[in-house]
Amino acid sequence: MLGYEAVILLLAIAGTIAVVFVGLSRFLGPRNLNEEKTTPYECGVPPSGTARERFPVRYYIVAMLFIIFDIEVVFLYPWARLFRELGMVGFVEMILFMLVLLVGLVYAWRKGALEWE
Amino acid sequence: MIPEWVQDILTSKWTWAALALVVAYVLTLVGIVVYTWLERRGAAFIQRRPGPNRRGPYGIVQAVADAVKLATKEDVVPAGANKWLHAVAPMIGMTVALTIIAVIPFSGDFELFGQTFRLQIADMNFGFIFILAISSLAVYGVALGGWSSNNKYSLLGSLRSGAQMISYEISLGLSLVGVLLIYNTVKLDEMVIAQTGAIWHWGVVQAPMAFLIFLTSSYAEANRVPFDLVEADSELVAGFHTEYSSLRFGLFYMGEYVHMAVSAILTVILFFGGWHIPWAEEIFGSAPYVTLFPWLLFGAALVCLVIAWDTSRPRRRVHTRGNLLLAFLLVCVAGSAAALGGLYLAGDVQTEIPWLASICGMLTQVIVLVLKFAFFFWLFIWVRWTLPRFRYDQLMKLGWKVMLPLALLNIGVTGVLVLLGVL
Repeated sequence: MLGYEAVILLLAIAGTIAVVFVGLSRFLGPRNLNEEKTTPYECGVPPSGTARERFPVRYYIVAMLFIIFDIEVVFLYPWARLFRELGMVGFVEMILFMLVLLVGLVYAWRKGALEWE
Repeated sequence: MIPEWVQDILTSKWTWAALALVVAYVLTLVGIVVYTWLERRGAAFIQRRPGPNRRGPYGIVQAVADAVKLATKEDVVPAGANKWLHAVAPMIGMTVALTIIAVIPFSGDFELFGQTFRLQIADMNFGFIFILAISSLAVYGVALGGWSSNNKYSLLGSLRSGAQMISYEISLGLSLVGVLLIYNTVKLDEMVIAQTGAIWHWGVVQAPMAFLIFLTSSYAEANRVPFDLVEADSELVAGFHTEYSSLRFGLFYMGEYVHMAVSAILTVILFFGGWHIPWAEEIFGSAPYVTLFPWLLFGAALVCLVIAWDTSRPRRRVHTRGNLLLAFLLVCVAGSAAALGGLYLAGDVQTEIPWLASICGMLTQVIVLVLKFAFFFWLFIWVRWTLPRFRYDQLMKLGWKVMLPLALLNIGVTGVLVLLGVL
């Protein structure tokens, strides 16, 4: 059992493996690229316009909801760890906290932010 | 009795960290060969066809051949792609999944010359939080890979993946809050120790709802069927890796399997007692895994003999030399395993050589963990070839309108049960 240094060690090993893999295909594979090969695949027809298009705003809404609920989860971890020490008071407080967030979820739900038609 | 330098090696923390690293990499990286083979054989088994069966025993060398083929393909970067991100994206998923294994304990504490060790690479007092923090980085690989390719299918795939993975990450995180409430610790090894003894100490019995939510979310996080909207080959060609070829695609592919392996290990550790056999202490005495070790060897010998018998049967009326050689080697392995087991029992290792006995006990625990892990890995394959894919609106509906409220409810109910002293 090592300490925190093991994480850096493991990151280094894993990163090296990944870099070596990407590098290996450079050496092992053939290299004769032409325009047809490097054209982005679009079912065989010439691509129309760029792929850096605008995309639906719904994905942003999901990302925003994620931030809110993920922070809630982060708050819940220390509470869950200390739950037995905090007892009834801690439980009621966290239920209130979760209720506030639940109201937010119900609001988003009613507003149709979770609909994907 | 034993030389000083052997004792030094055995009591070095680096030895056991290195062994843990070997176990971890065998289960993830080296295992990929077995997993791809198992995936194809499993698919063939479920669809009642032979699957790869020509190269090597049971066709297992086919996986190696596939890897070599992939490595010798041309590495194409599409025109207009962001070259840096295109190269970095496949590395992210792999690196992340291989870093998580640092905190996974593969065995319980064992004692050598008065010192206590555990087969775990990094002993961090927040192992559980570390896993969640690191694993959430995996979404960058898929999202950047799709965006950098300058391809519309890839872009759609990566957008879907981003939304899907973050949606299910919330349910995953919330389901684990329920687990924390029960175990009252954030160290993974202490969680496994809490599951010692009777089978109702296992997480799956104590927190069945958390287990179901965790399992579903981990399938969604690994982009596996029924949540493989990210690839959706019938709609998006291949989703985020449409423009990837050669070993860059290989990295994405391997990353997915490493991710699955890590999820399966975590399921076992959090919910299925880790390296514990239920009621082991009651049945086999105070050091059950040390006692069980020779019987494990006998079992392994039996398995080797059965495989040897199966490979030595003539196939299509031909004995291939390779199969006969393999059968012979397997019989040799079986014989030596049985002999070792016999020696272990006859030599009374448990009382005569306590340090060897505790290493053997540790090995038994690792093997118990690996056997449970194998079941959950098989479950990934089983589900993939059984269930159809969700539609995207169904996926988001399940994530936000079913899993999230259920996970919140689970926390409330678990909290009440803990307060009442039931759990």
